[in-house]
Amino acid sequence: MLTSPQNPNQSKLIQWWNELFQKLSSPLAPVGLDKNNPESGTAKDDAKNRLKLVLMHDRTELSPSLLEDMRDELVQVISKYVEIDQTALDLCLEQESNTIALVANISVVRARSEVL
Amino acid sequence: MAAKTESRVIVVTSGKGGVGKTTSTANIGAGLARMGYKVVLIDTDIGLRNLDILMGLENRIVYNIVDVVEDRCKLAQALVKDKRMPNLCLLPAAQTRDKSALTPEQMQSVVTELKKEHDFILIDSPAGIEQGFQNAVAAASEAIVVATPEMSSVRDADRIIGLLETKEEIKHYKLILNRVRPDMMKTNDMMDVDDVLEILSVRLLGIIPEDQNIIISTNRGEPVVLREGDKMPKATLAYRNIASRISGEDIPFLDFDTPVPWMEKVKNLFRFGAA
Repeated sequence: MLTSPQNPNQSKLIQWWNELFQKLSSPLAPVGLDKNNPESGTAKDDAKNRLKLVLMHDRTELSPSLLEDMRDELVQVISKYVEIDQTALDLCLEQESNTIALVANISVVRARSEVL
Repeated sequence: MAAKTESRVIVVTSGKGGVGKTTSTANIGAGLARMGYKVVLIDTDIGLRNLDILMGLENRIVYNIVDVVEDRCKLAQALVKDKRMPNLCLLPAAQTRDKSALTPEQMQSVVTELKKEHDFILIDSPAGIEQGFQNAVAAASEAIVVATPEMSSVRDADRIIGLLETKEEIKHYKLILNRVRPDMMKTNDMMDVDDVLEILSVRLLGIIPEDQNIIISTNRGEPVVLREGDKMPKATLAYRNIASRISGEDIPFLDFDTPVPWMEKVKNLFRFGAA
């Protein structure tokens, strides 16, 4: 990396060079730094991924807060039968070709003996 | 044109404002008229009319669509004839009323009347999904959804498509992707045509490149589709192709190839060096 600019023109050049260097050295490095999406790379991919998620919620009319409510109720129901790791319950919408699926990923610790 | 076939009523809509609905309506209408069809354009953006400006007809308006439905004039009196082509006319929106001045039923009766004399009736919808949109869609049997390759525009287009799906009268709809920037698409800084088509799962009617000639044309009140000559703007060709596709011709999509942006950057580097 170049540093210490001598004049404005040169500083522009350095900035440009550093951007170029960054692009060349890591073409797939996240530029948007979208922490929820480790796959995000280019601005185009960011737009696509964010848009797909927004549209899934729009199309099902399920807001993230509604999903959160559902998650909490699911935890209650499932907990009646099996002991689950409540912090590891992941509920999300996934697009599979033309259908939208509600996917719950629940890690079971053990079955409750009292219901057996 | 020989014996008149069934007229087609097409609504141009988008959800989001400022993506090119009115520009597309003006250019597709003028494009179809250029091909010899009898075309009428209806501006349904009551209170915020603009189609007249794009057509360069703003000084010729005497009556408008609200005057027609409220019986202050005959439909024929409200139609503004285009100054370039006798087979093209405009039914302007009212500028001093609001969207509630028109109902879907009134739109349908106006369109039924216009069908007698015209091959194509193009309806320019206002932005949004409220009554203005409902009015615009009420009398149409086909729809053109205009979007730009930006997140907010694509999201709103998806919403509009969802609403069009619920309208039994709309037999089919297609997408115009406007303000396409091949340079930014090449550098993966922007969603490309395939990305948008994949996300919206919609059929494509045409691709319009970002073109400053559109602004110049708007300023002159002459749709860009009517430009003639050897150095025809890309947008001119793109809109002509769309008009031809609507009329049933099978025209391949344009490939807007531009110089490689990396080369531009290298050139810029040399410019800095010389300074």
